Amino acid sequence: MMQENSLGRSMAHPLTGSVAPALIVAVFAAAFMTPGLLGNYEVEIAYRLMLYICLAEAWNLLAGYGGLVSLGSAAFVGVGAYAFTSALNAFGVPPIVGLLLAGLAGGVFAVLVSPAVFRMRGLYFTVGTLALGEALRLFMVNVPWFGGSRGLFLDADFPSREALFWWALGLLALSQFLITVYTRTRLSIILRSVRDDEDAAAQLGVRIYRVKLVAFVVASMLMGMGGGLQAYKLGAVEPYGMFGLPWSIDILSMVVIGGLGLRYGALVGAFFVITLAELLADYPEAHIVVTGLVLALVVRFAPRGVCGLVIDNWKRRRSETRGSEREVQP
Amino acid sequence: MKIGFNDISRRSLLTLAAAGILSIGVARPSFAADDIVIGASLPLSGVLAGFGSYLKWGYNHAVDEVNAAGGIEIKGAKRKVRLEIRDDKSDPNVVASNTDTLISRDHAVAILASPTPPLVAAGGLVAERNRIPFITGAAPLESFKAVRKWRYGWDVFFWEPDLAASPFHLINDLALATNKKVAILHDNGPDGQQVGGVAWPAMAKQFQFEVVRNSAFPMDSTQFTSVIADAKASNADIMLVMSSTPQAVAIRKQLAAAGYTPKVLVMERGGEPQQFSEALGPLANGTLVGAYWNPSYPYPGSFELTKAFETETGQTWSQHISASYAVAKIMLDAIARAGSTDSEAINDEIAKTEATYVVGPVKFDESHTSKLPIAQSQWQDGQVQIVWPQAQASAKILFPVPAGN
Repeated sequence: MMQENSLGRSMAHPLTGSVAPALIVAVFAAAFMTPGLLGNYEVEIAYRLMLYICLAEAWNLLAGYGGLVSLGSAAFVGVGAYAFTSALNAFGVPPIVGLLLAGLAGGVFAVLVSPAVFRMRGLYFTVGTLALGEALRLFMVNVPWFGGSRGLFLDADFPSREALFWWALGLLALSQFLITVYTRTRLSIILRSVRDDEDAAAQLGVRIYRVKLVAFVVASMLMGMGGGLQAYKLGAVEPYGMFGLPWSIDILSMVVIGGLGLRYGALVGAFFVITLAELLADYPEAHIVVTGLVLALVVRFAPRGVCGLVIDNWKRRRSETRGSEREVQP
Repeated sequence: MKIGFNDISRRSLLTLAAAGILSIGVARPSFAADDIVIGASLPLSGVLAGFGSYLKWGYNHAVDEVNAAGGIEIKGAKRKVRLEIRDDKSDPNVVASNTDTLISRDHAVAILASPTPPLVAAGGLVAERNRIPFITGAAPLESFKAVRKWRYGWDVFFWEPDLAASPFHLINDLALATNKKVAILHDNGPDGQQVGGVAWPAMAKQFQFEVVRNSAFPMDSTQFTSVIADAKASNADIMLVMSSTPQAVAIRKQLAAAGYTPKVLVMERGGEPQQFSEALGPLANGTLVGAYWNPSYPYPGSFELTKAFETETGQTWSQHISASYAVAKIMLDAIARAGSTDSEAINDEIAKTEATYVVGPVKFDESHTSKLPIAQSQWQDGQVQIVWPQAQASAKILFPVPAGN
């Protein structure tokens, strides 16, 4: 069911195509529409899960498929959050337009910074994007245009919990659609060729800058929309929370735990990390220690993430079964 | 046969870890179904963890007292109060999700706030959306009022203009001889910009002092040599600082290293915790900091609260135990008066609050705020002494600030 990320593998399994992503969206929708199945708490967790799946999918596209390991996710989430709040407050646009503008702002910001960050490769790119997020946070704190360190408060009415669920579901559907299209077309192969050997890909005629830019813009737009949705939920944005490093770290953790570069790594990782956080949240004295320990164990014993572990086990069992079948054949 | 670490399969270890976590999650302590649940999201980790520990103690102490008395009577039956606390890691996003969980999962009928304006706004807006009463004793009033016109949010704290004016009142009232030149150093956080960037300069002008230097710095800055050199060159007798505690410690040490000791040194926010005095020793002597409470204040339970805190924790008291304890008591009293866990009924009772609590008299105005009067305290040999206003003074002011080594 999981799709392998190496170039030579088939991507034609129906569940790795468009069926499974549609199924994921349908499961959330069906669970919500089934009377009595989800209480307020479950709806809140589902919202969080869908938001983080969207953000983690975007980061997986960038880092897992493109090799662009970014620590600047917070910058794009923050840009989207501020764009959404500013658009609603200043122009009174409806939330859907605000979300589209948040995505646009994330994409435009990616285009603007790409000449600088694409000059760097590997760890330098990672550190460069980290600096990007921090620089933007300090910029927003120090300029008076967006409320400075106090931030902005949304003038619009509070959305209901149900409305937030549908907005998050829409964003999840959009992210699944975009990532599915991306990973099932030539774009995916070209992007992974850039990831695996940038110079060799260039020698073969791949336009490196353009390929990276498209992935960067798509991922940044999704992150911007995620930031916009979170701003809608919070009703307030301020630089320390919206540009905070936890966004970047949480998203990275989810993908690494789920499976970097694996189609469902982001989904599984988001589910794992949010469930872990919720299970341990009632033990504030212990939860940071336990979370760290669990993450270390997963990284140590499942280096390809939870998805990778499942795939490896499944392959091992299949080869064992085939081996034993051959042995019994006359 | 001896089994080594490497003999254990990774699947076994991961299964064991998953089972462990699940058992922790499933094995939540059991509670009585009719407990009255009050929720609190607090910074027990992250940059505000020190602050959060005081609030946690204050909230818990108020709830423990009520439970020790049998609980709160709801429709003729006494019910225990259960305080659900979640760690927000000093992050507004986590405050919002915690508050949502406390309301949706734990069915909290009221929320006690996390400290500082960004965290108060994050939690307060969620409570407001869910129509659940929410109270804070850790957000300056103007910052609280700036968020929105509250219906379910309440705030008991000091008013920023009072805090900004207090050093000038002190200098005038105590007739301290200075050249009336003021250097301001402030971080660029919400309080820093409001008090250091706006309120102090305005008050200096009003009191006919001259601001010769006003420098802002990032909230994580630790190097202040250049701004201190500028302040020293401007020959300011008065230095007003608004910063975090690590920054306040660094500034005081760097002032000493530069051989510059203003006659009046005010270090708001950062100079308040015990850690400031512990880190500086005698160098803390003479530092002034705004205060809204002191165990010597003649309010009911001041002495007992301080004694309970120091006995239970082994730490020196902080004024934040008074505000957190008081707002929890206000909420518990409102529930008791309402005789119901209905959020509207509780909210209506909070609005009617008019009583003297450990932190002082509390009565909410139409903006849902109740102002605490500001005093100036001073570090003297490891102790916080109130030095202004004179009617409440517990010691004579140390003036000028000792140079230190």
